[in-house]
Amino acid sequence: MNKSLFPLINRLLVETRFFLGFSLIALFGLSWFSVLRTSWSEGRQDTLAIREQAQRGELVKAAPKKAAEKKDESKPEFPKDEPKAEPAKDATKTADATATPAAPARPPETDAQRNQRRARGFYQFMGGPDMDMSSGAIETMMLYFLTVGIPIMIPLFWGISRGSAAVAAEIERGTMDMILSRPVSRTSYLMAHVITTVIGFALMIVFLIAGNKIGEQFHSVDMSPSIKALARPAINVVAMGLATFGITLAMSAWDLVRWRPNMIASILTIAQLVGYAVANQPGTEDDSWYKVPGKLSVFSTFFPIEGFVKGEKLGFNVMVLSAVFVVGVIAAILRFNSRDLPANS
Amino acid sequence: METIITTFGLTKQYGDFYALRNLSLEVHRGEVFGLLGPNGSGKTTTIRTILGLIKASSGSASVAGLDCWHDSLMVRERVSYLPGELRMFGYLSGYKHLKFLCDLRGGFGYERAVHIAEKIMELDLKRKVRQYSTGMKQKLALAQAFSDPVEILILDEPTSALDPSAREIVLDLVLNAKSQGQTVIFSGHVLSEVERISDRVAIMRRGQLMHVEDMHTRRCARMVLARFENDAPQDFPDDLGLIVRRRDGRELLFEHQGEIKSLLDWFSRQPISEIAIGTEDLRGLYDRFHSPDVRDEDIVAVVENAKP
Repeated sequence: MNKSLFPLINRLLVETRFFLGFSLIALFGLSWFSVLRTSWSEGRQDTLAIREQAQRGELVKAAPKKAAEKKDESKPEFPKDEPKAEPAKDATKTADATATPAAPARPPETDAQRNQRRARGFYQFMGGPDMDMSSGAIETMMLYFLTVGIPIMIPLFWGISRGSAAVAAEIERGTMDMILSRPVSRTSYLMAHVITTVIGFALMIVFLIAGNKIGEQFHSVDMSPSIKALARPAINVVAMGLATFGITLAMSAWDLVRWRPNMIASILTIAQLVGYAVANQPGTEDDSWYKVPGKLSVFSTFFPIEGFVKGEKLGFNVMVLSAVFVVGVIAAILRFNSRDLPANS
Repeated sequence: METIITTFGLTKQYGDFYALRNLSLEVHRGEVFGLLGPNGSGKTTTIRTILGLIKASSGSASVAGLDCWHDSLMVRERVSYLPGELRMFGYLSGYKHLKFLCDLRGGFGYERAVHIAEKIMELDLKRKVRQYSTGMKQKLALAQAFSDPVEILILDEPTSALDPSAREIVLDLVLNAKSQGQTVIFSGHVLSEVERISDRVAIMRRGQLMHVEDMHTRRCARMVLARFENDAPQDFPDDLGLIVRRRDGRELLFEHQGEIKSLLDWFSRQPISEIAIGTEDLRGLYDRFHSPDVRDEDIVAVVENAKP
């Protein structure tokens, strides 16, 4: 490390300000949106429960909410064998049906059901294997895409983009000569890219959490998780982006053009996602051959909801993903320090 | 004279192609060293090897005793480089571009860079670099190179995109750098510019060093074209120091260095019908190695007395 590190990082932050800025705004907005959506969902559920209780004449017997919440916050659990709560669209239909005197009485919501409902709502934006995908309704799919797909994709885009930009894009643009003809070591040059990328990821964690916490101030929700609890899944999402960055950086250190590491990293990421999705289809046997790509996928270490609920998995996941990142960075440094830089690079 | 840059048997090979072949040369401290040769002759590869941007296949290159590959960082602390093909950060203003590059060297030289860019090169540094013309970008890069507090300046085709006035300014800046004790490697295609400012000139061809010319000696040399009444003589007295450049029946072109009086005495005894005495510019020397009718087998690469 030498005196060149800070100006290099400063330049990279200026260069990426729009990409990073829009990414952070998007994550903040989607995080806020997830709170808003949760608030709507909980509001509908409450309305439904109150209506049902009024029909049965049990309105005065409603369970105290605060006590249940305190219990949930201390150790939330999302049992998988409980029946899933109905999506909002279907719930409205159910409400219409229960308006007739012949409708069966709805049993009071259990703690487990309530937890599951919250998992679908407030933590839904982080995704994971516990995600409720039972409904194929367009509304649910769109919600899933907005609150799960994009928050995963943004760190991945950031990782791939910054990885390919580090060496290959600089050579392609022809500005590498200008930098490395100054007293800048190649390791410092790469570390500036690594630090800038990590700064971007750190900001993503902050903005994901901030979107939730600020959203809570405007939209009421049943349960308000701590910042630490929110940070776990956010770190997990970002760690996956970090691993992708490490892989792309290593490829970039070998290459002369940006499109190739971009393309290979994108194909690898998509292939891993497809492999993971295929391997985790419901009803598949554990020893099936198509479980193998799922195990090889970097997404197999991606369990943000598990991380949120149980905590103990987060450390292992982040460790594996960080190891991929570190190996990628080391490979990039070794390769970049030994390679020729072509003329007009 | 102290040597500051040395290459010995420097070779760079890409598969079967030799970008550099057994290049051995020395650059002396405080001199302006011209590097001549057509495109693809190995000038830029030599420079990039010195800067540690590429690794030699064999041989060695050193700057002030530092290996150009293993001690590349320390070498680049002593060297400022102007690339032949300029690519800049278009989103930065002229000021910020200079600031960024100076900061990579610890912030030194910024005021001088701004002074050269604004006062001498007459650039508007508030504008974004992407709005600059090619010539303006080259001026900006030159301002940067001449402001660096380094021992060695390496300028790769520094005047290629400049107007005549700016070219003169650049040549003056090179001579100014020399007067301040800096060593300058000046690679270019404009022979008159290289001839004017260089102390020594190296001519390259297909990755090999063909010739190294001391320009001070060359400036003292004269070219003599003599037409004899009969066939031109085959032999000359050794003490005259004549080098025959061209023989064409009764006509003889030769190069002469040293005392003119002894040459004139000899002429007076010869059956000469016409005589013309002048100087040869660098073009003549260059054409010895690069004129269209020169074949590879007719010329032999030189190896300077560089030590490993």
